[in-house]
Amino acid sequence: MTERSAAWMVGFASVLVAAGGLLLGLQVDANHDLSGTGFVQLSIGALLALLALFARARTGGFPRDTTGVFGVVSAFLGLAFLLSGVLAPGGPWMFFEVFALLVFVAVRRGETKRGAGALVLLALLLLFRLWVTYQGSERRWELVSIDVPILSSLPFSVLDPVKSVSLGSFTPREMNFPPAGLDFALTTALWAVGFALCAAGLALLERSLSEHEDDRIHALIHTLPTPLAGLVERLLPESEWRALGLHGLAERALAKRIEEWVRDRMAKQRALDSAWRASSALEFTNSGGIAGGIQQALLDHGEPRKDESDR
Amino acid sequence: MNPAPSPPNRAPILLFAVATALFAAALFARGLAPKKVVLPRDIPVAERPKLRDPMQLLSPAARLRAQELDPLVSPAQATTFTAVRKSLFAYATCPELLDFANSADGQRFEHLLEDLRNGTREDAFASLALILRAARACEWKPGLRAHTEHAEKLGTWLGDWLRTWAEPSAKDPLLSEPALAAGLVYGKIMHTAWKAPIVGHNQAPYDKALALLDELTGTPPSHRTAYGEMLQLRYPRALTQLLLRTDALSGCAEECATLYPDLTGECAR
Repeated sequence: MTERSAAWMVGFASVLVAAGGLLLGLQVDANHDLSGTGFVQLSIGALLALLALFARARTGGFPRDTTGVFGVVSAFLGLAFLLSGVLAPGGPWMFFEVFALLVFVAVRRGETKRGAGALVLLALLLLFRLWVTYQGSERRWELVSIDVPILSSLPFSVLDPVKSVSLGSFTPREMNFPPAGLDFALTTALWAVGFALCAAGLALLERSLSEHEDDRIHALIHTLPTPLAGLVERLLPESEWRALGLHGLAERALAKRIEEWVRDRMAKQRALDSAWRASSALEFTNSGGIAGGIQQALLDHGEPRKDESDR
Repeated sequence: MNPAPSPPNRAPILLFAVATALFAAALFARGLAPKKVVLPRDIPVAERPKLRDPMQLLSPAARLRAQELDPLVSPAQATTFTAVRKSLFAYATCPELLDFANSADGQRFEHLLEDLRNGTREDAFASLALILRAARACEWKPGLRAHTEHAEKLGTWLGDWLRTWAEPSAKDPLLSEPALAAGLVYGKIMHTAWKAPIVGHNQAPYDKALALLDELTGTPPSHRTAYGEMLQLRYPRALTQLLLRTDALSGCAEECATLYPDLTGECAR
């Protein structure tokens, strides 16, 4: 199997995201004709995705080449499609979902690990949307209908209007349902496949963009002579590049940042070495026991003493 | 010596192009409007049937134009049709519907209905006009003692007609509207039979009507028929109630009351 470059993976992930977005934007009516889900949800999804993109740009930098730019645009569109896919098709219920999303972001703003919570929230919103769609496809224009005890069991049709209570009503127009009604099975199948493609594409895109940035940094480091490049890579391991803020920097800024980090790491290394050399007096303070044994082991692997090296 | 530069990899560029096209398609697809259902009457004038305003022949004023049906009926049924039409439109005694059906006139009427139902589209329309005339000329209201047999007999005639002609009528300029009207009248009649008892309901006609209308319109929505599509377009309330399953025939009854307020089961003298 041919190994694929990060740029290839960015392209492939973008295709997945775009195909998912296409499926999420379609619905099948009762006559098996296709129609669009409208731009309302997409607009709200795009706004939320823009917020996410800004938050990310504060820590992740900006794309610096065509592949990076394409990947970020794909990620933005993918996130907009994904968010629009879980929002109710319109009306007050859609704004309720947006409100829930914003509350979630505000409440958990300080937390670093909120991925699992966000996924649960998205899954709940998707479930809500599917329920609204199902009710609409059955021509029940409310979230739930609760039968009134006793009254509902009486066989008098004159009581029909008060036999049940409707909660959370909506209209087909605000939900952008086609006039012929919705084919729930086919539409849900389309959305499920679209959602899966979008989510998988976004995950792949995130990883591919990170790999692409790593490739760019790697290429810059390897403009140095090979032994020096190897030394830099030992000082700054690839797994730390993102955390060190090397992703998303322009080439000149990247070179300066690498230089700073190498200087910083070397200084720390030297400080450690000198501290180590100064620690030979420790052998006189060996108190025995397990702590003493470890201390002795450390000393045994230390540098040869000056008098030993002279001999 | 520097190594020769490797040729540029075209695969990512191709993938970017495909993704761009798909993104454009995804945005375009969101704006797709639902397909409009076009009524058969929108076909060019030259292709329209010879009979103008066929719905008038199903209304209480049908007696003014009923003779226009005579030349349209197949020659084999023409003579009988004319005779039955004349007698039916001359009815003034207002018998109960079953009494009419069991009379000599009624038996001839039923034979003719069967023949016309198996004939051409004009024959089918003529038979429907006769059924609605019978519905106006005879008493079929269940009354306090809930005699639903008259309404159910009338429902049987309409049900047989609908079973044969509803689906082919959906896109037929002559029969489209009449077939929808027939469905509404059928729903109204069976709804009347269902609601006849003072306490509770008469379930048999309700279930029978629901089964037939489900088949004709195509429920659940994933199996929508052309007839169901037209009913949704013209009388959405009727189809919505049908899908709700709670008092499913009330939509048809309401629409029918608007379309033919005189069809109450009591003779329109």
